[in-house]
Amino acid sequence: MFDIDAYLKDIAIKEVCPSDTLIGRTAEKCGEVLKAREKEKKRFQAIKRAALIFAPAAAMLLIGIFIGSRFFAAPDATAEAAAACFTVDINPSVCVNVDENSVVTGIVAQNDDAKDLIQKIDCVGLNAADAICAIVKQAKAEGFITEENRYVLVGCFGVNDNDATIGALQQRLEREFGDIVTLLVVSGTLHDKTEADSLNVSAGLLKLIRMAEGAETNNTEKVKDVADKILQKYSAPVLSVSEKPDGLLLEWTKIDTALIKLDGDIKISVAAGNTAADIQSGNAEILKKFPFDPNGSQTTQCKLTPKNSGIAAGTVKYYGIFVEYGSVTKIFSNVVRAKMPIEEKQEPKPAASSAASSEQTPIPTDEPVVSGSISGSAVVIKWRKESSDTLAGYKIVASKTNPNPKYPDDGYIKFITNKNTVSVKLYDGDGGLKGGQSYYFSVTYLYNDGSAIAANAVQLTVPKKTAETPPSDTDEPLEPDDTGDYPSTNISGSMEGTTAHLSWGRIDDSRLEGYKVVMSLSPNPSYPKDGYVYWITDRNQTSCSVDLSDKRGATVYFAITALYDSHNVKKTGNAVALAVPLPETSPEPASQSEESTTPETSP
Amino acid sequence: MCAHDEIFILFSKGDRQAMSILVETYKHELYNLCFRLTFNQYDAEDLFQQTWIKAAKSAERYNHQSFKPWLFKICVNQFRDNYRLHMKRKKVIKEDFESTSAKDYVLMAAGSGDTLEEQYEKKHIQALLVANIDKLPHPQKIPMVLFYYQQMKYSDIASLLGVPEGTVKSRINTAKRKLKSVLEGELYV
Repeated sequence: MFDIDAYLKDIAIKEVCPSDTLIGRTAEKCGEVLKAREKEKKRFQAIKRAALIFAPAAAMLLIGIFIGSRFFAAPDATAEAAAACFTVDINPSVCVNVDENSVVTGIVAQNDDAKDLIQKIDCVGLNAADAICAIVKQAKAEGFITEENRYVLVGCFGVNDNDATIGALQQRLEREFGDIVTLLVVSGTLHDKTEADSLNVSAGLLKLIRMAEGAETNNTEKVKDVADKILQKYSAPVLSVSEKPDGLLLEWTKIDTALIKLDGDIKISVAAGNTAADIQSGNAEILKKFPFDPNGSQTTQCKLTPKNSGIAAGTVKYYGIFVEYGSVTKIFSNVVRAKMPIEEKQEPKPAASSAASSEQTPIPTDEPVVSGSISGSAVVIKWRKESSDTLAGYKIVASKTNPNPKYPDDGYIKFITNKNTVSVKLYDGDGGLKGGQSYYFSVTYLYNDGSAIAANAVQLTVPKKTAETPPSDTDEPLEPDDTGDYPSTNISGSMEGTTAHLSWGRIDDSRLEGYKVVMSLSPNPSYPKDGYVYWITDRNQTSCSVDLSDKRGATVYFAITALYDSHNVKKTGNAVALAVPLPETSPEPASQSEESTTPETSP
Repeated sequence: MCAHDEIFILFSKGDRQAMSILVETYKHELYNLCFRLTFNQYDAEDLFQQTWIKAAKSAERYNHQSFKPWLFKICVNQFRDNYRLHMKRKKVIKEDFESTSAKDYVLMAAGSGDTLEEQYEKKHIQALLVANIDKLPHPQKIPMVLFYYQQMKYSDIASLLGVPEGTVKSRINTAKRKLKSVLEGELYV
């Protein structure tokens, strides 16, 4: 037996010495930092002295800024010295306070994403334009600015020589970031800033809303465009759909009221279209409208049945939610695709049976049949081959309690896309199966149009793991023991050609650091076990697309691992399996897709 | 008040000379921690310098708690940040961040009565251990480095990482289980 402690306790690592150059360079750099701080302090003192001399005006200014800033945490902010401020809204939102010489005196995070962002930049002492450039640059580096999310709103409030300052700032930003961002600069007074603070929104965003709604004079197309995109990022609800026996249940996250409580006439609409684009282009059919009381409770779900929606059973549609307020602005959720379930009486009945009787069950010609047995330390599940070209694969399903388990209601433990495979061995630990426990096993035949037919079930006891049992490839990495109350999120996905479109539920937890989008060819992927394809630190970004053209013919599994507390806590939600079409069988972009709208369930 | 206390007070007020004295005083301990976290000279130098610059920037917030743990905490946090940025920049999976030279820094530790052959055998196994500790995920690697290489106590590690002591123990145990399984595979199969 290998005694690891005996080796660990005696480990001795060679001591290393830092070079004199390193020490010299470090001391010099630290000296520069301290010198800059000293200079900054002196400047503060001078500003404070000036404020005392011009007491009445300064007092008004300080009170205004104080009222404005009380709504936001401002750990490093030196609002009492600010003569003007600039807001930068990318989601994150940041407010930069400056003195009368446009030198930055403090920087304030206006939402959670911004808190992280401003820790990594030190703008105090810079001029306003340099500071704003540094913020945009850092936001780009952190992944907040992408090809799809390229909108940056800069607000200037209480700035002297307004037009010249704004013009120069706009030119500078266009020059440095013109190719990666779409920029809009708005301006206002410190009174506007105070008003926005009292509403707990960014002054820049408030100004933008007013402009977009026509309350301000500068109502241009660009304003509308940026308003749409930026407000969408800040307030959009996240929609998910689940199939119920008698219809579809649409559920969405609460709409962030911070930016839309300013208007009384708000409605939430549920729309259905034949394509995803229909939803935003206005070609979708409005199925329901709910009144929205910003100060009261919000409707966050809606049940659609063939009867109340007019959508026939078996029809595949795209669904979306949008919030309408004022007369111009709409905020759209993500779009989900779902098939209206076929009524119970039309569904093929699965032939449930026990292990003993399943083998003798007469086989109806149009119904798959499952049998099971024990072989060594494995449960062997066999089923009848389906030779239809429209078959997407076999979902192997297990449940401890449901004698007729089926996909998607009971999740699945394996998805087999090779239609010639007609048996599988399952071991203790596979997909959460526990040795010594009894399960109902079944197979659901999944077809390209999204329909699923569940077969009969067999009841078997999983043999306990022995030394010979092959190790499971689904073992979850060991997590720290204090992660109970950290939420995970559920993912759903669909294929468009060889591109996977993924979406997941927004996690509303201030400890969240971001989402790792994990991809694997094995079921139940998680970070860090399977690496990741995207690291998304914007908690409001709840969808992405992945190109799978190099994985044609494979089944690819995706999951979201949410990271918390300096990456020490990782919570992985359900996995979704997507079959990438082969070029011969699916040359057209519209290929088979499979959506998992329910979390994977451990049997 | 001893001379050292005065230096800390001066440091917190932004005194440049006090800063230089502190860099000189803690250079060995901090650099060795940086090196053991990265096992790469260039990364260790970057981490060392970033840690001191961050300390200089935060000098005003230093509230006269024990200086070394405060400095080490900055170092560990910076190490995690660097790793995150590295991952983000390169969009690589974790294996790309491995160090391959960790095992070259293991010293031969002779137990009483060990033959030369036994000493080499032990060093070989310890080198494998060190190389595999370097590959552990951060939540496990950092406590292992602090506990076994830096000989810190559980309670000190817990306070440095801002987690309960039980979590530190559990992470170390998890790491040991993983290492044991890897080494048993490498040595006995």
